[in-house]
Amino acid sequence: MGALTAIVIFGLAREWFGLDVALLSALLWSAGTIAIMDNRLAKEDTLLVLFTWLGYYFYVRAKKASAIQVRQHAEPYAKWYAAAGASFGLMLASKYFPHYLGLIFLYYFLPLNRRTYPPLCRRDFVLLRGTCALVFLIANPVILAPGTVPYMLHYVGEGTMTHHGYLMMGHFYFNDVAHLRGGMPFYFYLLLLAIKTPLPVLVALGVGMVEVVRRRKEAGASFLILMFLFWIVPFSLVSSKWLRWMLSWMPAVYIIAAIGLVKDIFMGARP
Amino acid sequence: MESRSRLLVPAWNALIFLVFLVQPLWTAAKAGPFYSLYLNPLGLGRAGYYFPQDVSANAECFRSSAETRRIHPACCFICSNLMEQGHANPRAVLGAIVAGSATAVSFLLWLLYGHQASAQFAGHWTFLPALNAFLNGLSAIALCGGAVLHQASESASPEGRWIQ
Repeated sequence: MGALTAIVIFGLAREWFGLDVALLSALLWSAGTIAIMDNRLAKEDTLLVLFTWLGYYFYVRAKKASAIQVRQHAEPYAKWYAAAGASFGLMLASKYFPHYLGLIFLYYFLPLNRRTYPPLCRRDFVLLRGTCALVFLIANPVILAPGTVPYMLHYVGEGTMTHHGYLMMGHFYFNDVAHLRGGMPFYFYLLLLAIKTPLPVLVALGVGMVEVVRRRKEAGASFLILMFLFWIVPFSLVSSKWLRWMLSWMPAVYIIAAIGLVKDIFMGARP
Repeated sequence: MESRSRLLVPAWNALIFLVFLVQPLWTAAKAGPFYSLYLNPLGLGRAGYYFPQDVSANAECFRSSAETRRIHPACCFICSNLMEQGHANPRAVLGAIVAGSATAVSFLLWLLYGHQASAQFAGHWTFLPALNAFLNGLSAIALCGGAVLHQASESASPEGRWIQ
């Protein structure tokens, strides 16, 4: 599943930044130590990332096709909304993190995109939500069992597993959301990225960040900035932190690094 | 002056290529199978100091207890506890494998001899035998590769064992 995500990253990066950035993004994901490390764990985060970014890819395709069709009566785009809905359904069945679904809606709610892309009509809306709900129920029928919701509440209340603390750099921190003070330090994910990413990729990420901020009014760059910031800021502020959660952030990180490589470093090396 | 720059450009390109593409690939290859213990120079070589719980609880530690102990004692400590809990009853595992195989064989026999295929499927799905052969080939390669790696692991460390 982690390997399949490389193809999804390739597809999404190609939509906005071309073949060279797409290939490099997929390569950085495939060889990224953080991505490999997290994908080797038998946890749900790998599925979450695959279906989230697959859903983003289909949604972007749907929006692009709908904008073209409105002007030129071109390719029918309903299938892309259905595919996006199915992917989001699988994403929610993998892990109950619905805010990832909200991020893509937020992106297309931005004034720049509202002017460019037509809003969802009733049919698109039904198709997207309908396939999402249907696939979610097919993949996760146990949600309908009467005992599931009480069990979930029991789990959330730490009735099944207690999180005592997290040892980090020789210091114990509380590692649950309830502890607003004394929780994990805010720099947990930034430190992890800084010490567990090969230095050339870190340099490329820095260069790429400058590039996407410079092009922040372009569709692809603004999408990456949104995904980058709306992950790292809230997840750094929450006092509960786990290394594997970072996997959801890494596609944006690797695409930005690939942009840095292609647009500045490799371009600067050409004769 | 111009000829000098002509020589420098390919050299510079090669250097960029090596630093930004080959080095990360080499790093990933070298970090395996203990990817969670990888640190770049900014980590000052203190593997296991920053996030010992997440690093040690990684399944990679199971591969070879001797090698793990050599790299990071904390990882070995947690893994040894998990390994003790990880011992499964071989009879139950064997029973499950036999039951699963019997179910699969029964389904295949029913499909071949007890189920009449619809006429509309005649000529369709003709690629399936080739796909089956291809997947069988992959399985054979994976099994042989696994056996060779297992033998190598056992000979490299007498106490090395796989949990999977």
